[in-house]
Amino acid sequence: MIFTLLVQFAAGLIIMEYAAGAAGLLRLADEKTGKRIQGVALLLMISGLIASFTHLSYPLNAVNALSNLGSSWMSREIAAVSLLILVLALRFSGYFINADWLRGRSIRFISLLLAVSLIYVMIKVYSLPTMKYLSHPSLATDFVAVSLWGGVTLLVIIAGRYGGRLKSHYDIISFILIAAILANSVIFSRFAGSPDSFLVWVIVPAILSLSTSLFSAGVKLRNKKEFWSVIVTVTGLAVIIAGRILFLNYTYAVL
Amino acid sequence: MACKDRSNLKPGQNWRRVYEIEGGEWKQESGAWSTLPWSYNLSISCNHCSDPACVSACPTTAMHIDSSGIVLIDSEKCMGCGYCMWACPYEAPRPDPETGKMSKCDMCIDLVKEGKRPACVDSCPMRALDFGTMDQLSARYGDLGEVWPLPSREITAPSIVITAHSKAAGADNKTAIVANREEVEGGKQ
Repeated sequence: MIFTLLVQFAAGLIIMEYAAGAAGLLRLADEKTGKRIQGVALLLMISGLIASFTHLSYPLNAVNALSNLGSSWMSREIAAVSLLILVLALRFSGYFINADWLRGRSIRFISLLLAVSLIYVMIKVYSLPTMKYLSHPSLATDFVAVSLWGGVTLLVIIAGRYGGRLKSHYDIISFILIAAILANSVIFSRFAGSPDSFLVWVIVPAILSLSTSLFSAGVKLRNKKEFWSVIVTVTGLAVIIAGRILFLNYTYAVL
Repeated sequence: MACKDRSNLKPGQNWRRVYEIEGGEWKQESGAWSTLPWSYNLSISCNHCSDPACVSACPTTAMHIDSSGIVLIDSEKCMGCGYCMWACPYEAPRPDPETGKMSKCDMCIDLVKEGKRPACVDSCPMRALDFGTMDQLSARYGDLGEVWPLPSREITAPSIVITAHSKAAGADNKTAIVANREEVEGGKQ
């Protein structure tokens, strides 16, 4: 779960950076913000990769993990993670060495493509036909919504005062994404037959997050808005973690 | 037990598992209630599928099919991620508690190469298990390859034929449960 969340947040950050830049909500020319975005994404990806080693009972053989790119989605996932780390490292190094192409539009677009591909590959890793609960459309929606929510939240935090226009949209974007995650958790729990008591752990923070984000979006006073956005972020994270535990606990193979 | 003994498996490392399936109903006839319980056993190990999900899922290529069609694990390559266990609809691959690497039924390949039968087949006192090519087994027992709670054979084309219990063939009995789930799921990650 740690690997998945960290890597999804990093991929979401890269996607939202591109989207916010394209929508004119973020000043991509600002060097400090750019450096922080690449640095945080890189840190999350490397931390995720290190965390993934805890899944392995025999990590010394991890070097073999790229041996089955032809048919194994897990091999492809590791390849996608490695490629994205490489591109992010190049972009990050672009702030320290004099090479314009490392901060240019092309490499930004390449990292966007890799981030989108990575989320797709992660969905495929879990969409095994033999795991009937994971092979549910709600998994894909959840992965996309969680990635984008993590991405936009990190972006707002990192961009700080340069993210002024993005910040004003944050609460409503969070509302939409948390609503999607909640809907998916409800659909999944019905499909997987998990007890209602478990779903409460998702619903309670979701109601807090949704109502706070609506309230925060409506409050115009700047100082109060910061406080409410923190509540939106914390409760949103609680929704995501509770939702993931729900997935993990009610995922059985066919037999 | 013969499987565990022959392959020196650790506690909880069950390459072959015997599922105890139970079901039944109450029925009212002429004002009187009667119970109709039933049960059957299902002995399942690796089915050495023709289209094994574990082989295509394994990122390291440790899981592979050898020239005789037996699905094997190359322990030198395995990193113990457990993804093969997720991918296999029969949950045949199981972790070795000592090495952490995955392990599974190798169809007693050394015995088979000597022209003998796997240990489970030779030891079964009821002769419920048999061994042969799929053509031989189909000629003896027919073509049924799935009973409740096994998944559709369309997923991986398992090399198995089953003579079904009368309550198992339809796979639509709503009362059936795996009574010993805790026992058969022991050793999963």
